[in-house]
Amino acid sequence: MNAINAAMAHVSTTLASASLQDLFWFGGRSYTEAGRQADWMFMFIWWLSVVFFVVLMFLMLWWAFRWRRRKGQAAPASPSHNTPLEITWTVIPTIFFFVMFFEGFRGYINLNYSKVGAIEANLLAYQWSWLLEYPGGQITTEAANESYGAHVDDGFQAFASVPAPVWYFPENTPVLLRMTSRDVIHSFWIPDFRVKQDIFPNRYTSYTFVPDPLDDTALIMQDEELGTYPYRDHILMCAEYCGDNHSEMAGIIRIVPEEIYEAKLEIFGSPRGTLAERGQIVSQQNGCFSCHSVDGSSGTGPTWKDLYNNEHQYTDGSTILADDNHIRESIYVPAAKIRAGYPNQMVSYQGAISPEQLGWIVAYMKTLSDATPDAELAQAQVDPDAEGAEAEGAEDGGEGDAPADGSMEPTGSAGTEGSMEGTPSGG
Amino acid sequence: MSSLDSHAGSAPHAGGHHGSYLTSKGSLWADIANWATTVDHKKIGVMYLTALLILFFLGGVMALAVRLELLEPTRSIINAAGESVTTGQRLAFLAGDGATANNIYNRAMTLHGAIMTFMFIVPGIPASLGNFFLPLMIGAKDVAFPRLNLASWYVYVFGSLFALASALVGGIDTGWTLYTPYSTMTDADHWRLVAMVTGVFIMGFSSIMTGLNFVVTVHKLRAPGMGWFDMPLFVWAIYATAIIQVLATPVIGITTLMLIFERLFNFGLFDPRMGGDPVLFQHFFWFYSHPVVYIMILPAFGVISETITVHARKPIFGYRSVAFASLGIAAVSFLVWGHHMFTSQGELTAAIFSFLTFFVAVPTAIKVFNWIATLYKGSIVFNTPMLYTLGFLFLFTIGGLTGLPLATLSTDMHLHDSYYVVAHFHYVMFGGTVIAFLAGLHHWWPKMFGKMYAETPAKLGFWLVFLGFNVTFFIQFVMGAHGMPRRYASYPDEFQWMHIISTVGSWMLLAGFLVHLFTFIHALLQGKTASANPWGGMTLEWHADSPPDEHNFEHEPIVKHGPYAYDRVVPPHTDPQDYPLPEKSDPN
Repeated sequence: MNAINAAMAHVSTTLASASLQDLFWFGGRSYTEAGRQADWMFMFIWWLSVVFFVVLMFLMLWWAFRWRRRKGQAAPASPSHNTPLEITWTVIPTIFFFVMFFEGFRGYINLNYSKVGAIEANLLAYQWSWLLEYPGGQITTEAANESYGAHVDDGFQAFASVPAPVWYFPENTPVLLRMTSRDVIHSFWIPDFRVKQDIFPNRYTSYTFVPDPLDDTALIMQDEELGTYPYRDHILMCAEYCGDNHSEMAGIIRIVPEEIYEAKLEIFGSPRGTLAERGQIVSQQNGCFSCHSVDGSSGTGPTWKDLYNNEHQYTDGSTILADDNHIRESIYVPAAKIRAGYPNQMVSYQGAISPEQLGWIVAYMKTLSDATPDAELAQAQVDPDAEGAEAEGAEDGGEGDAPADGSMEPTGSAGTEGSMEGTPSGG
Repeated sequence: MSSLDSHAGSAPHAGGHHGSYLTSKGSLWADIANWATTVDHKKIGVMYLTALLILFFLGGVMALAVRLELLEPTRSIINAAGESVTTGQRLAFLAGDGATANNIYNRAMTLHGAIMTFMFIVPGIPASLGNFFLPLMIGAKDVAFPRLNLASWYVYVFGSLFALASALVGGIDTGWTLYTPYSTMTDADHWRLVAMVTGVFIMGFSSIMTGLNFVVTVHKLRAPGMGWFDMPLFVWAIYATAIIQVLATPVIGITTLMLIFERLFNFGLFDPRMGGDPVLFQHFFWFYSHPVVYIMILPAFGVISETITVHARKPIFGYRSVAFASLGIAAVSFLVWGHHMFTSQGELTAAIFSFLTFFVAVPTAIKVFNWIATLYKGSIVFNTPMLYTLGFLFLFTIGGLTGLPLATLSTDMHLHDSYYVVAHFHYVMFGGTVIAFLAGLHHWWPKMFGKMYAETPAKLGFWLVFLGFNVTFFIQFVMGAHGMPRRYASYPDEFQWMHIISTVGSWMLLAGFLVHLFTFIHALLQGKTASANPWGGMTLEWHADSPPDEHNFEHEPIVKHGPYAYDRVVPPHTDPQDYPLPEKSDPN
């Protein structure tokens, strides 16, 4: 995870390092061939518009000044129409419009049609994050804080540092994302690639890009496990308004050399760490932190700090102890009991978070609460030396007893392979 | 030759005169009762104007709130006590419940959009200036259906109250486009959304009534001698608008009704959880809401056509092509709704809609060329209406040209739903319609209220609005092209300096509007009495008194020349020193 910390400083490098010249018009360099064609098209229209605009405004101001009203002086008679002139200024723009349409359509095809041999990955969009599944079913376990709100020094402070998932793709290789949404319409936009595509529930749309090879403008990553390698980050944003935390629905596409991509997939395929650590990762991946804080600050949903095993007020007036079963219900059937003071807004994660993963999340929540019956034990789980346990009890926990039976407490080391197999679409 | 002999030199208060429409009925209560039950198109126009300006103010406050919020990349600050206070909590009056800061931002943004589109800019020019001047300009006593006209105002106010009731208890957070399924899923306490949508539904009837009324009025009530091509271009523009209003508005009525049923009774039309299609809603929505863009901008074209001829004392260049361009735009406007959905539909549909979209650009370009050509060899006076007219040409040209990359498929893939789009439609709607509205308001103010406004502060107001507008919105083109999505409550730090510029611009705009508010109030209270024709216009409204008689004209006017025959005719009631006859005077 040190790599993440190291990367955090460079997260939005592609935006921040742009010169003022780059900053204007289409955000500087595009990182795909198709994107550069779109840029060319934009600049073509731009300069054409500038020429038209300058000519029109020059005539307007010149004539307005030249023929300004003077006392006692009549306006000279002048033609009120001129058919050849009017035909000319109708035909010429029409020709330009045809050129724009055809060139634009060509560029559109280039942007939207995938190349042969693309890496095909699935992407699930939801309020308010993304879940991307690599071809082998792996999902990323890395997240980085975005640059949103770094103004601690001048009195501003980040409201919540929202972790953005980091996805790895190899350089110069086509990628094809099959996308669908769990709830409302979202839109997948990587400004560096110049394409966006809406994502709908109950429907698949696709998104494709071929990232440029890494050149000498790439940044260098120092990674303890994988050594030193070049990389490039591209920010991903949601472009279709999708509710409260629409603006925090970000992600990072990290372009790396082919072998690093392979190595990362291997790491993602076999996550290590304790149950609580896995719970933290699963929570991140599912976007829990866009509504729930872990430090007690308020959000769309109740904070997870001191949530577990404490009693809370609910909108129907009752007081309920937030035990394992209650947490399970709140994740799978969120509308069943609503905490007082919060809107009924959460969607069900049934099918997205497996019972096994749910156990990990509970384990993680325990580490955040002072009221855990076995708080010390839970704290011990975050110790990186403790090997993550194969949660045997959770394996058969589909009936709902798993989170409650305590069997996912770490009981020792076990094999780690395949422990992420309960991911949403099952690989 | 004058179109109206009755005014030339004769005593203006001869028989058949009823006094100004503004004349008091004696007591305050009598006046209120008189205005509340009036069927006079001028009073209804003024009532619309009042309601519109109040709503414009509310929408503007929301805009300022949104821009204030965006001064900071994130949503929270630390208060004196060291607690974290969300920026949204400064706008806490908006929230009737425990909403998050993001939620409050989203509601302010939605309210700004909903108020400005549905309640201000769509009825805007047709309902206020159109109501007042359409009958005057065609020499009619009133619109064809005066009671329907009054009813349309009440319906409009009633609908607005529904929407404002929703706003007062917090409003909705869907964005003004109300896209499903978000609008059917959000906010368990859904009556706010239903109230807002019902308000839009009701206001649609007001729009249809107004449109219907105008179509019939133009067809049936033109003064003797006024052929179709003797009509002022403002009348042409309002006529084209009215056709769109009648044809397109029922679609938003049906759409909002479907949304209400979906919301209340779970019809499953748009909600994918019940097998519905969320994109269907977008088709319905834009089938109305694209033509509505032209309901907004065509009347502005009409205003500019009037102001530029009067204040340049020139017949408009290519009268017929300007008139036909209005109708052409109205026709094509129904075929291009899909260009709002390039990222949400198939390739073939996107290509077809892109192709059709360019056809709207042609008549629009023709109009701009014609207006600029009108200035050639004119006699141009730089008063406030003319400054606003030139400002309109500047801003609308930018708005039009920046639409080209949005109609082009490959570039729209990047720019869609970014701040570039925000900047583009503000240049069209604000830089176009609102600026033209201000041009028209200054141009016709003396006629409407019989008082001149003070020119110097009005010019100051123009410069503040014009510069403030450009400072606010031009930088947003850069932001959007660079990757700033719209409707973002928080954003990457790189964009902060641009947001700061934009927000400062919004304060300049506010200052400009306050100056205008001052000049208008000052004009009403202390303005110099206006003559019947202070600018030397040739259209019929300048033959009526300022303010007009209750029945507009003493006698039905007989039209004997076109509306812009400046080369042949000296308009009545103008100072010959300022408006001498052309040397080559036409013997007619």
